[in-house]
Amino acid sequence: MAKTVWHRGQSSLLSLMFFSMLIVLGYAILSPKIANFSNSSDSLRQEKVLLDQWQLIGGSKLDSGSSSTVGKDPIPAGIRYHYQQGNRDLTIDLRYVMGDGDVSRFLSVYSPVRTGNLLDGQRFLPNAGYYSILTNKGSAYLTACLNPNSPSTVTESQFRQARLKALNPMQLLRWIGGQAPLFDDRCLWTLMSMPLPSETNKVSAFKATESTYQEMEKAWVIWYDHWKTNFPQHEGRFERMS
Amino acid sequence: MNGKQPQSKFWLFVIGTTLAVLHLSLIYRSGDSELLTTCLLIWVMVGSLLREDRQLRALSSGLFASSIGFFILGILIFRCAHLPTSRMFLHILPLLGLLGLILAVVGWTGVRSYRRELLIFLVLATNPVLEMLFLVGDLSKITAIVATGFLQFLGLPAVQTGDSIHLFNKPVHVFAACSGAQSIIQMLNISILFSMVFSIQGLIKQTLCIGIGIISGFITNAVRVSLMVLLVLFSNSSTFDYWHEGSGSLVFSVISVLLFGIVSWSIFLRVTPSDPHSGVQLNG
Repeated sequence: MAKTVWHRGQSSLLSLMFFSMLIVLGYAILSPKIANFSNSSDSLRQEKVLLDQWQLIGGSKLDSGSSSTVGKDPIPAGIRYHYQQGNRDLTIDLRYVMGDGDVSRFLSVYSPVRTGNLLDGQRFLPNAGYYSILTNKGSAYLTACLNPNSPSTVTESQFRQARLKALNPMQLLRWIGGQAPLFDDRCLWTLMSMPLPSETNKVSAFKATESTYQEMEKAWVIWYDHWKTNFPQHEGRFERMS
Repeated sequence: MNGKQPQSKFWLFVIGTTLAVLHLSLIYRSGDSELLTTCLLIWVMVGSLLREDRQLRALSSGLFASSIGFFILGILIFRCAHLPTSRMFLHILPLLGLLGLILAVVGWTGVRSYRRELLIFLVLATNPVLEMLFLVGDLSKITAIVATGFLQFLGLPAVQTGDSIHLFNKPVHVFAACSGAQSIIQMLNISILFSMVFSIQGLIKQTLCIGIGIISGFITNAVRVSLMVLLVLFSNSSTFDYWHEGSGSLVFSVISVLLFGIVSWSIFLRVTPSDPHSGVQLNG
């Protein structure tokens, strides 16, 4: 007797499951498709970031637009900061990029710098993470991905390792409940550039490059520190390719 | 009692089909066309596997197993109602859905009966994790080495450093998407699907089958990278785009599957007339 009651209960439950699935299916088919790339890059607020000896003379919005080179990726939007110290200029491009944290790809696709191999110029500071410096067409560059809750990274491999290390039980619970992604794939991609003074002498050119690098590194440490404590929060629902 | 016999099969079919269509619709919504084709193939194959006749008692699931099954299904439907596009979720959905369904309808014994289908979906579910693990490693470098080897074999002065290939002193960087991780994981799915559908028995044979799949995926990808290097240096960007991102890149997936299919068919599926016991048992 109990068995048939249970069987009927089971049948009803199965019918319930079936019909709810049908409803969700209908909803899924009829709902409009959402755009893939989230627009959170628009929400990068213009924060005042002060670097010790550099004077902040302005900031401007970097618009997103379609890249003119390979592929159809739109360039993520961001902010450009201008600093000055005496007669030296420092420009910092900050863009909110999601995905793989592959800085050399960002450089090739989103910036005028076309060199792909950053491993030669890669350095590491315990209080600033991985970053890479290079020279291209008369300017010196320093670049890295600022990650939430992790030191900065340059290569995709470092980025992925940082994501894995950043996992914690709270994050897992929030992921199961649909409130947060499993891996927070956001990267505040920083590209610092300083024009190199033109020198005829090879030795003085080398010295000028080295001192430029040092200036940028000093600025980088402060920049890193600021964003480590001020990394933007995830806003709202994040549904995207995670 | 006899009238209740078909019930398990009925529910499995009905809810299973709805689950499949729901899964594919969510994938379509998320815009991941590669995942869509993979899962379409997998669902069709799993569907044919599920239809094989199994001794089923009518709604034989016990209270405990059923509760767990319904609980899993309930959470899944609830989560799906938010129309998720998260890659991780879309990979896990079929595994949990089928598991919940089997537990609710057939019970614990169902897990054993349907272990082939569950295994296929388990492998699918681990895809994102595998991809992450590959990316932490040095696959790009290995692909670059092999691709450089191909170019050298063709007589071209190609040199490999790290993740880059230098041809005529112009560097081409092998980004992670081309590292071969996607191809290998794709072939892993397909080779496991193949060995389940064609009932390849024995650990050695199964490992061999999967090995062939992985190698096929890796080699095809390395050939593709060599081609990309030539295209990016010697042709215009629309040709490159076609092969790199457009329909051209699908050609290589197809080649990889065909290569695997031909090799596996000749090794595993040909039954020689002199030996009636070789080949394969098709009754599961």
